[in-house]
Amino acid sequence: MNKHKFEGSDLLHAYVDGELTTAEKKRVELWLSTHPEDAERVASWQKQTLGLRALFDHKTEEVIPPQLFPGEPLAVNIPPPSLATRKTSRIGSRIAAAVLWLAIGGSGGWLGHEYLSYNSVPFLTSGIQTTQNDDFTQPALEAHWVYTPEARHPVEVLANEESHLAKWLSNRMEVPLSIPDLSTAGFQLVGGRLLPSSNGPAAQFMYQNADKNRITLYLSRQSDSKETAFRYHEAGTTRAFYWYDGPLGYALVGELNRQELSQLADFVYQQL
Amino acid sequence: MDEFLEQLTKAIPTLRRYAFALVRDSSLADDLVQDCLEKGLAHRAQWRGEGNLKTWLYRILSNIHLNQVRADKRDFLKTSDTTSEADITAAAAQSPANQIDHLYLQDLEAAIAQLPEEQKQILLLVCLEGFSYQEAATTLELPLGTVMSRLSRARETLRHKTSGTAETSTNIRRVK
Repeated sequence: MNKHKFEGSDLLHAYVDGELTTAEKKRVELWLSTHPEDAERVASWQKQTLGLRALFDHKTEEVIPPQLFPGEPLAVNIPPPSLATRKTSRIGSRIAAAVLWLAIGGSGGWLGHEYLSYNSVPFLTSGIQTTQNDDFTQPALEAHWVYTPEARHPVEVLANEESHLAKWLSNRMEVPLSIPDLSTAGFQLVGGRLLPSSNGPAAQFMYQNADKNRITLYLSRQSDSKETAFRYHEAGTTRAFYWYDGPLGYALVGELNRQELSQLADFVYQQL
Repeated sequence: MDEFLEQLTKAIPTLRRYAFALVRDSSLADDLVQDCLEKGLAHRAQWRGEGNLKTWLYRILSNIHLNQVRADKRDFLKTSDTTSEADITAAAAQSPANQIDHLYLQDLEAAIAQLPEEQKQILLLVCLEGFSYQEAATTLELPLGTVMSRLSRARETLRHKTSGTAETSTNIRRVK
């Protein structure tokens, strides 16, 4: 199996990537125990692998956009294993929506949407949607970490198309959204994007101040309508205030101090 | 159910991860995956069940990516330079030294973005997608020695760009 003979630093790479026989592995380990510089390189490469996973593994958890299924019948038939539960819950909620739609009859477009969003979802979820997840701070933080460092593509739709952005995300999330104005606090809108979440579409708005500090506001649908006070969450230097209001959960995320962020959260809340 | 379509569909989540890591933009990445799947379907006769379908799909995606990058190389080089500088500056401004992990990830991401595409593909196939050296060589139709040397260069570049996180930040601050 292992016909290739690794030499020199290739041997170290092969060690990191599990390409060695047990005997070779032992020899490398012995070498590393007496050569700290090589041991350091190996450790650094191993850390890179962990880092790559941390940066990109979340993509395999996402709900796959339907346009990616090439043969049409595929889309419903074979969700990849890791997505099975989420897929079911989304399809479940679509079925539920369709059933309800029939039940309320032609009571009109947006009205129907609202009726569905505000009143009926909790009732439906207890029966059909089994994998609802209301803890949205982690996805909010992850989305913040992934997109705020972006220089080229921080958002999908830029602030100059603000009204289009609001309309588009309102449609996708099936809730009328308004984009809070934080300019009095020195933060200008950069734009926004649509995100996948375990509860269907979620939205992220990004703001930036004169020092190029970026904060994000994450919005996701919740399984039931409720209202809560601000809650606080901290992950390293990243801080978040989150709350529920009606059908949505909100999280304001940034690398600001707690007071600044809390003040901004107030601004956001007042404008919703 | 068609065996080919089944395998193709199973590969989508990891193809999306690979594509996203290559271009670091969700919609560009999904365009890449879509092109790859369409090409795969159109050329399914070429596959003939020989070898691993996954390897074959990764090869298609890698080639589309390389062609795209080469097509707008000048544009790409220009912007990718500014990207990582901005990233590191933003990270330096926002994260104190104790936030090693988050800062490391930002530096790592910026350093990956600057790698030559050929090195980046190998690095991602081996370290992110878990390909063996032989699988990576087959996928990219390269000799094993080339795989090894590109992997080695990519890793050393990343190591140097992430090791001095603290110094890098202060350097940039001084320049600013």
